[in-house]
Amino acid sequence: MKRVEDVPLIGAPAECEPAGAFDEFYVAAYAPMVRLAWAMLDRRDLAEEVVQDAFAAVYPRFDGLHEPGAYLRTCVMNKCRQALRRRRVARRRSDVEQPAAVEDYHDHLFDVIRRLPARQRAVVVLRYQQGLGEREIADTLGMAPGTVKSCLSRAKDRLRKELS
Amino acid sequence: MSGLDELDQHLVDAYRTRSERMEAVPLTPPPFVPPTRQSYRGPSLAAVVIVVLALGLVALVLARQETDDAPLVGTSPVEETTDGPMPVPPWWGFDLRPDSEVTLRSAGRADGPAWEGVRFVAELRRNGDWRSRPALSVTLVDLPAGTTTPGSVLSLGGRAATRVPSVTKVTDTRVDLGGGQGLVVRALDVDDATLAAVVDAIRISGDTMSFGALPAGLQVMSASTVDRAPYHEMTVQYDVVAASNGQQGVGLMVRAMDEPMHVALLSLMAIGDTDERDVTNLTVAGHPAIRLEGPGDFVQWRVGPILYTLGYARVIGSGAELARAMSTLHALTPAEVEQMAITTVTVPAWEGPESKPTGPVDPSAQRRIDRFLAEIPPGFEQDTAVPVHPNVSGYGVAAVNTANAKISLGLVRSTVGPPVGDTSMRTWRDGAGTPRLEWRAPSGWTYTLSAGGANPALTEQQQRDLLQRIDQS
Repeated sequence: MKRVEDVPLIGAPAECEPAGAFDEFYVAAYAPMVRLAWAMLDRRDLAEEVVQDAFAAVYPRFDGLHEPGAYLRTCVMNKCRQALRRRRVARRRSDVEQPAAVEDYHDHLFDVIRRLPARQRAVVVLRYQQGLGEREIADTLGMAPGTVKSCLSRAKDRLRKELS
Repeated sequence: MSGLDELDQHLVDAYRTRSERMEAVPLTPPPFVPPTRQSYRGPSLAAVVIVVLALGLVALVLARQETDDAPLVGTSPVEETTDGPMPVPPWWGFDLRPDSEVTLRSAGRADGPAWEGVRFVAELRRNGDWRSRPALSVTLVDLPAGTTTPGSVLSLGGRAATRVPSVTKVTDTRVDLGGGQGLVVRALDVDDATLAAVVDAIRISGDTMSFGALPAGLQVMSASTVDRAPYHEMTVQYDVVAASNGQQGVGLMVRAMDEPMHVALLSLMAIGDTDERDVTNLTVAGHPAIRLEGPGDFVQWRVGPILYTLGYARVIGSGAELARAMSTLHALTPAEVEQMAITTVTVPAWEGPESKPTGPVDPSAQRRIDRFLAEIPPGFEQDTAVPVHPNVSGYGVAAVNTANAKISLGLVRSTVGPPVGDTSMRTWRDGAGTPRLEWRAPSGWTYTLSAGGANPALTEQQQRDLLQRIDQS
């Protein structure tokens, strides 16, 4: 297990030389995870923050994880859902409904997806952006496969209704 | 989930397109350190610095409980985010008025205490200039008896100290003062004799520090109690549209924070970073600043207890136009930076922690939005019409009728002059199959009008006529 002294006092990002399995994992998984969180949150800055937090959660357990990528993905999705909940709460507390702080990719389809409940949205993103199957989505979100199926079905019903 | 229906195909296509756009954006991972907290968003040196320090301090406080195989991270610090109205800190004072080529948004939050067992922080610099060396940040921390800190043991003026290994020029030394207190000293270009002299000059009184005679040239440039009061962090992001289609642009973010530990350590690490990178000294609004070039470049300056950072927030798109925009931003002069972040004008009331539009909409855009809202069909004039968040694509407005059909207008003014080439209106369908009418008008405005899905509220000819009228507004 790493200790404080193993952690360098970091200089410039460009100067950091990754070393060890975790660092390799971090470098390889960072961009895909940011894109996943970006798809969930619509904001790159928040996505990067969430992914940093997720890596921090993985780090102390890394040596004991059989599938750190899957564990990391679960952490990212959980933190995205938490962030969406916080955003929703904040919006409810404001006097005027505020549109989401959408960074880009503004079109009708994503407008509707943004309005889906966080869990449905998560299923849609994992299915269509990540290309995961029911079992993988279930593992990622901690659901039964049947729940994934019904969740996706409800999401698509709503999309059809709102897009028609 | 096998067998794609029409909606499946729309979703697959839309997410494929979106993924391609995202993949065009460079995402360079910042160096990873096991954080307990990330205050500075984005792939920045600042984020790393904060978490490294948080880690070190938490580890120090928790050291008594450590075992050889203890996990690196300690308990998460408390973080409080303000959900309700949040007053603008009196020190903010940025001019939020956008010019016609820049959209912006702002965000702010007040966080709770990030540090446990930390009492006081002071900064020492040569001649009191925060950019100068030698440089130290000295933190007074709780250090229960029996605490052990990993590292090489040394003696500083007769006191037991531990030097934590470092791969940078910034050294990290922990000094046991006895009586349950200790110091964490981060130093740049400071030899041990000078460090010992600094430690000798420190006078502790309860939870505060003062300094006696310091080594020649060193001055205390800040000294702050690290209390449990919320601190502030606010940002303003400027989105610069680089292409008339609105899909390429860069964002600049100005961030300000007033938490003394963050300010002390971020600025120390910033100047510690200047050895290996091109650095320019400049002034921003009359205050000494540094500008670091290269990946993750930023401009940083301080005004009293506040640290300001101007850096890239994000980059959207790719290609020649984006490269041109990046070059433009690289070439920003200090005066232009000041124009973007002048410290004289009061900010409108702040309403919450979420990013949201701030500042007036550009008048010429507002005229077009008003014209659009005045002409949308009956049934759509209800008050559900909301301004869409001004983003890199410019402005937008949408209205929804009781049947949940939506009509929307996006409008972007080119920053690179009138369009070259085809200025005819064209129709296309988005990933959901919704028809859109797009027009790069000779006026330099680009419009995207959507009048509903399967049963549009306006015929295509009506949409074309409407866009003509809007453009003449």
